Amino acid sequence: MLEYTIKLKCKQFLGVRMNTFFINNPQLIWPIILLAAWTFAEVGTYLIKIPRITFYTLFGFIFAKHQFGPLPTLDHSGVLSLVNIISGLILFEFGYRINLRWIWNNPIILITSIVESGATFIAVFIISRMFEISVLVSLEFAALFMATSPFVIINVINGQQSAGQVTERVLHLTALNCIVAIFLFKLILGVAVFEKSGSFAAATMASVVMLISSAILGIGFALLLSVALRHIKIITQNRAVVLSLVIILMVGIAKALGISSIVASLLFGLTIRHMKVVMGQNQRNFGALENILIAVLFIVIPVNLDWHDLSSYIGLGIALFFSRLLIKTIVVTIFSYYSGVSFYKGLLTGLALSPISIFSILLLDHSVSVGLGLNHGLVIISGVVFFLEVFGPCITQYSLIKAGESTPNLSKIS
Amino acid sequence: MQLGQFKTSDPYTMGVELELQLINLSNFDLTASSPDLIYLLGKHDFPGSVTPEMTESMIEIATDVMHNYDEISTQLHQIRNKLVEACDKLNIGICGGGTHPFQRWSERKIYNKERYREASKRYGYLAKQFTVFGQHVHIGCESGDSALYLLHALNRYVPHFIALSASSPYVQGADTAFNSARLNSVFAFPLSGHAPFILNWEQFDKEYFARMHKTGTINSMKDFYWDIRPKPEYGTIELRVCDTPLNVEKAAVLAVYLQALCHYILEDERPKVSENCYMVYNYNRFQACRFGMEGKIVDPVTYSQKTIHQDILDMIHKIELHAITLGSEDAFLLLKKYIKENNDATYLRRQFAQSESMEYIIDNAIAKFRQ
Repeated sequence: MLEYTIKLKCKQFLGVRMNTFFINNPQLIWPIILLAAWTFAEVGTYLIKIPRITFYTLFGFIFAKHQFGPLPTLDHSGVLSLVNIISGLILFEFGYRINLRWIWNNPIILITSIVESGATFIAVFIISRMFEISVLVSLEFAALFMATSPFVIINVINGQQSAGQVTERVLHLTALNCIVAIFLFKLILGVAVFEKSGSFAAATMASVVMLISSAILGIGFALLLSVALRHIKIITQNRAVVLSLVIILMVGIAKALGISSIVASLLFGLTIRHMKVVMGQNQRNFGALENILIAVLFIVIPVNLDWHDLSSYIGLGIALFFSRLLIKTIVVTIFSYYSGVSFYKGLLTGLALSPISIFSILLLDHSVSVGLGLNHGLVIISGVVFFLEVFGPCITQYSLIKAGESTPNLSKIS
Repeated sequence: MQLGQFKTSDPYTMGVELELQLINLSNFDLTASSPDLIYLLGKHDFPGSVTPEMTESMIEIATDVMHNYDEISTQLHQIRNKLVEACDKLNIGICGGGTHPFQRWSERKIYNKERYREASKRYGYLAKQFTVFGQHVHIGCESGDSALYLLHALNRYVPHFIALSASSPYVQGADTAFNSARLNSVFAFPLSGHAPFILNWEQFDKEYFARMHKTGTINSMKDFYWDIRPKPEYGTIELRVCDTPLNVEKAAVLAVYLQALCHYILEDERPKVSENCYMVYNYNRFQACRFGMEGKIVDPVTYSQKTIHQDILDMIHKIELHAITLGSEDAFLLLKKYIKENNDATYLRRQFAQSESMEYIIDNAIAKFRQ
């Protein structure tokens, strides 16, 4: 009791002081938060050698409005637009690294993805139902739990400068399970809208039309840009700038039309790559800017979370966490031998698929605003989701290091 | 320690080793993928052999012992097909070329093998910047003495092979103005250059190798980075100056050209060799590296100057009958075609002029390797 009172007092003291300061100086919130989060992440990474994004997520959670914080919830923040742009840029980079020809050349990769996603879907649905979660919310959980976080994966891979089969397979399996997850999620949403409203048009709009129009937006922009890049020399010399500006425009259009910027950005990157628009060595990633963008994204992801929600449904959370981890790892390991790598690398690939991106998807995907009880449903599993958001990057990093695919220290000669 | 007996092998038999680039297909940079590729190739039968190299972005393939052009060309194509199939399964690009045009040496990873770790400790950054890709050609010799004689008699023709195979005009993102910049990386090693002028195997073994071993600077013949070195365990001499060509056909043709040249030297010309032959060796070598086929070389005996292009054409004329004797006349037709087209360095520069993109060059090299 005494301990609880002390904690409460601390929280009130810190919260009130900080909030008063930031209310008087709102323009200082983000610069100070970013600098503090960056310092926190750098010191943390230096001390315990885990990915920076883990620290950003923890920082965002600790300094969220529901805890100590000055960070506003996103519903009332202009930061959401910035987050959309950042994810657009990262998803472009992610899509750019996906080679469809590989999936054609080695179809076991596709089969692995279908089986691991399908098995995860079924397991999550069954477990959710066992905990008496409604059918609709269980289905939506099942779809979202299939996806590995592209944001985490690309960040950890870039941070480790890793190369090899675990790296390539994690990238491609993530892309595939994300696409399948979003597709299924939209489909379930469509069915739910139909059941609720009885309107076939509204249901189709919420699912198929939204997916197709997002795909057209991404692919269309990519085709137009690749033609322009071939013919206008001035653009060729500033590829990274032009690509960034086009992504920002595309994300804006997706938002205005209420369609998925995730799908559009991913397909934009994928198409640009397959149209052989090459990013030069100095134009890859987005340099120092990318580090800042990543910080903003991962600080923002948990700001809507409340500490009290994390402790609910611990049993369900543990069951979902272990079943997802086990299924992905077992399936990928079994298929690894037939797809050309050792069982050991298969095992590490499966483990590396741990990071989850439910909050990111929900933050970015405006179709959730259709509102079918999922947000409430998520509260009950926010513990496990938060756990995966925080520790997923560590598991991926561990897998890449164990696979011998990371580059430990470039400043060393050997 | 001594090398011992020089193993006898059938004269003029040949073998080819090629060091190849492993490419990330997203950004066309090198990728550290040789452990995965070697694992996959090890699961099935492989024509010839495949081994790791100094850094994880390279692999080396080698043919078995071959007698003529048809044999070596056929096996190189079989090896190429197996490599392409395995790389397709792992999402890796694979190509020839003496250097990767824009890779950064500091980003390379040393292959996890005692010999390479030791080389990295001994040579510092030289080990990583040795991520360059060469073709080595072995020619069988019946004795150690014959091998040493041939090795020194061939010194005059080393520029031919450099100029014909040159495919490394770009290094670390810039045009070097060289046709073969790769050899500059090799030249940085303390035990590079040409072999000491010794014509007797016993003398070479006892007086040179054993003494060098006692100094603690070498452990085996592998520690000599000479342009041509004897390989007693195979009973061959090994020519090491060629850049890896962009396709395996050219690699086969270069091997056959060396085979015919050796046949001509031992069966016909029997030139006198002396230490004086090396007077202009480094100059001629530089001309070939820098200017390729247009380089001008000096004959150390007659002091006459000629372009390498002309010197090769003259030599082809002289040794064509030897090629026919060895069953390699088709290769000589191709050789003449390659001379007309100039070397791969010229081709790569043309590709860059068209696209202004180094990534495009690599994309093109990957396609050319598969042709």
